[in-house]
Amino acid sequence: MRDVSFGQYYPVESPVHRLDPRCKLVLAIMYIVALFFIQTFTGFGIVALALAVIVLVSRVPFVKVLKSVKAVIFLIIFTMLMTFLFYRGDPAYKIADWGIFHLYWDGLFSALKLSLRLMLLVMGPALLTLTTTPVELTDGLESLLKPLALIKLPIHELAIIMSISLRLIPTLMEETDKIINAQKARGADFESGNLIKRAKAMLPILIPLFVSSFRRADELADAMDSRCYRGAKGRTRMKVLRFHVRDLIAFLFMAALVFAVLTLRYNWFGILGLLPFTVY
Amino acid sequence: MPIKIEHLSYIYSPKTPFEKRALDDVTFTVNDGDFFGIIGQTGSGKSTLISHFNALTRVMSGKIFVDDMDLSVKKLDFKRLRSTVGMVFQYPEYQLFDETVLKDVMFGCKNIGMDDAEAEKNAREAIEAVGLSPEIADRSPFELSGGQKRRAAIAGVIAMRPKVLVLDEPTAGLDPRGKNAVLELIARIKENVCPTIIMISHNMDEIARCCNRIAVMSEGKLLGVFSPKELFGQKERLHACGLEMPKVTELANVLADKGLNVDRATLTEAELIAQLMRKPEAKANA
Repeated sequence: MRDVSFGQYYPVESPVHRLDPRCKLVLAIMYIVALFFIQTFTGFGIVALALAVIVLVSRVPFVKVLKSVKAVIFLIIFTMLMTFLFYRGDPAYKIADWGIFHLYWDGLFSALKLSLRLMLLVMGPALLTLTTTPVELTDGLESLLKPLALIKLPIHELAIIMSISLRLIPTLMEETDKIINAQKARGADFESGNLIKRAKAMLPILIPLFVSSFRRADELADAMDSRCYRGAKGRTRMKVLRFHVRDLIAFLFMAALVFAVLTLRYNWFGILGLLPFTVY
Repeated sequence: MPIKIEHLSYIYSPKTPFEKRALDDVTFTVNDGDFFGIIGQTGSGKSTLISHFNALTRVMSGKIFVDDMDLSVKKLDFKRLRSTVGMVFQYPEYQLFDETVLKDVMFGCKNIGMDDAEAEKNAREAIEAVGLSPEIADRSPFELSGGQKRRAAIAGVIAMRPKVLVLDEPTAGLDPRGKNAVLELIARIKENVCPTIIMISHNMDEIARCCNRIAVMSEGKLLGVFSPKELFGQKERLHACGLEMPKVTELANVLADKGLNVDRATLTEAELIAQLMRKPEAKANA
């Protein structure tokens, strides 16, 4: 349960950590969009290189970022296999026929590109959550979504719900650990038996967890009430978000990356002809 | 059936920025029949230490022996260990889950392999032993009052008939009367059910009143194991450990400072009263 790398802030000082969360969110979106325009290994190489540079600057260990892929590794392997096995490619590039499966070189490349895209897709946002605290993220989101309040969407309420849930995740994890320990101390066994038996063994954890979540929610509501919380109206912030020069630099870096990706994709300036190698 | 702890160390999240040394070369022994107190400030490693006693935390370095079981080996008979060492955590009422108190108390018994009849017999006895009335057995644990819930949770542990009972702040969050009742309950359990008790507490009055040996922890290290008289009789040692005196001892010290003939290491109200009552007699004789 401790190994969930997604959403685990890695507390070190770095320029990436200090970036404005709104800026980081926008950059993450640009990064994701850029990934979908890539069709060549060269393009993936450029993005991977850029990501590596950002990771280096952020001083988060590479292992931490790579670990985020672990959560979707089965998805990646599955889609890779499916693409490879069922690809209908150019007969000129056929590798072999295995019964209903027909293997093609371009199928293999397509599968590899797909997995590269998925991996990069997971690692970018993982880096975002590794370098940004959940509270900063919610603040950033709230600020970015503010225009939607004009059409009467309760942005502040949604943001506070999100930040409270994020805030309670570690607390609930701790609580779960405690309850698991207490039931283990009473000889409970969560590891053996078939699926139904194991699901049943979860009850002594889930019921106390639910009971305590409701209790916590009640207590929190009371605590907020007693401090006169009335929603967004008239609230000021302790930490006001401000853009800095470093945000501009980061934005330019990401814009350059997107530009490079688009240039490669659409052969702007006849770039493909100018390069000393063929782009795959 | 002593618990022997030898050079036990434990580090949380080693080799990360969150690394924390929770236990540092801790060595001591809990003897049969001890009412063993563990005290120390929050974060001094007490809870980590006791969670080793029934292998909820596995030994990282060092050794622990419970009975003849070596807890540092990989293959461990968890069922036997957990029926030998009963563990009551902080706020144990939060672990209640079943439909009725009886079923909840039987949970542990069944887990360690008792059949239904034996489990029910043990559970009913345990419910009685913690001072709950037999009708409560068929009620939902969520209907009970706070104090009753805690008793029910303790019953769930002693129904397993442990030989050692470990309690982590059993009186936390109770009013003075509830605290007293739980302490009396623990004393009764020690007499009738489970001869060896290990208790963590932040309340020096409780420790002074109940324990015959006391381990003092600080920042993961064991500062020493003392008898109550040794520990609370010496202001300097207490200060060195960052601990307070029991209220009674404090009062005895104030009285002694004012020139009264009382023992500075007085630990219970009864002792202090006895000393104060005998004074006029002593004067009369003189």
